[in-house]
Amino acid sequence: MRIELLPRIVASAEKIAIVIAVAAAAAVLAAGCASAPPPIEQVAAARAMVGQAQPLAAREAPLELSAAQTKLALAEDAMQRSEYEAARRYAEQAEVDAKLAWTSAENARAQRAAAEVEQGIQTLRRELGRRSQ
Amino acid sequence: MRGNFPVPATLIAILVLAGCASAPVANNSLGEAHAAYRLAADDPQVRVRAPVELALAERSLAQAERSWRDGKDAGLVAHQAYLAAQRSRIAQKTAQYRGAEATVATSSEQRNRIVLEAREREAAVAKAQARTAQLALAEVEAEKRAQELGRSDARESEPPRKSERQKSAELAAELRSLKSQVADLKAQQTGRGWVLTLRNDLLFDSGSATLKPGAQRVADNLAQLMRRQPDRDIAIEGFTDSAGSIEANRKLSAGRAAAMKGALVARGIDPGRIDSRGYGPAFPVASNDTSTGRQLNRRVEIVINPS
Repeated sequence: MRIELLPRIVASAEKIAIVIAVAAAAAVLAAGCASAPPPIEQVAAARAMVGQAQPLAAREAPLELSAAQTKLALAEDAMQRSEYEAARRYAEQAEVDAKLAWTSAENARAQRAAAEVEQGIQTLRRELGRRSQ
Repeated sequence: MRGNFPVPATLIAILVLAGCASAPVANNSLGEAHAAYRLAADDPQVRVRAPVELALAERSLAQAERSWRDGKDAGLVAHQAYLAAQRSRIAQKTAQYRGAEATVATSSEQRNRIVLEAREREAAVAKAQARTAQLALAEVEAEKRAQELGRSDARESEPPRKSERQKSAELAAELRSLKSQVADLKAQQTGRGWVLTLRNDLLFDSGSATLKPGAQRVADNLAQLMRRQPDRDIAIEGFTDSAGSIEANRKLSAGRAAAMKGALVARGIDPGRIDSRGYGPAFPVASNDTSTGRQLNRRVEIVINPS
């Protein structure tokens, strides 16, 4: 974004001061992001959680799972570029997204099982009620 | 379940991360995190079933608020708010799925209770029916006694009393005739008096306490014998082999003895003359290690008391 904007701004000589200000701000932000330590643990945790969610969530919670997978890929990309602060945030979000995907999938499965059991009990109640009359 | 996935929150978070956006956006995502947390915290099921997950969501929300108050970078605030919102949703889903799993886990208990209740209802109905039958029987007997009374009034004197020897000779003759009519009946004289042994598989289907049609004939003959020997009481004792639980076998054998007693009562025998008991696998007469032995052990014994 900065690179695309630069030529247009340079064209206006009066705005050189602004260019300097924007560039400085961007530099500070980038430096701030880069100075963080590499979030190795966070990325590993995200990868593990996505792996755990995958088998069940692929069917039961595909939206939540794909959000987690996308962010994990972004985190790994950012790691490659040594943008550690961005990598850490993507990894943390990927982990909670994957955890939510897994929990949603578990819930869908458990709700179905409970409904089946509930229905079995209703049937039993009906049959026994009929027999005793 | 899928409908409430926070697409706007995700987009905001991605935008925030990509561009490191402005304070209003951070404020917005904080509001969303607050709403998601309230939804989870106000649900009593979440407090009971997912307290750890809820506490984590609460801590995340507090962290995001602190960052915002301290004027931290808006991207960080939005990121932390997003984590808090997702953790609130995780707490909610966790409570829901644990609730469903608890339903599944308690279902067998519930099933047993329903079966038990039905059985108690059936027993109450059977008891009421038995009482009605008994009342009808008492009426018939009272009538019969009145007739007999009238007859004995007409007679000059009672017939001479029979001797002990005569009585037991009569019983032995009765039993001989019973044996000729009932296949597979064993009659033995023991210290407790005469004991008749009947094999269970001739009287009942496996596992059932309902008399088979063939057993009704046995009851006919036995009732006849009891009417001819009015001063002898009997005990009906049920036994099983050792396969299965002792308690279940005891119940089954008691139910079978009671069924036999019921058949005699239905034929006009005074219930007070019949004692019925179930002993399950206790007192085997043969080894339970062989199938022949087990068949001998599955039996009903009828003890005819000395008069």
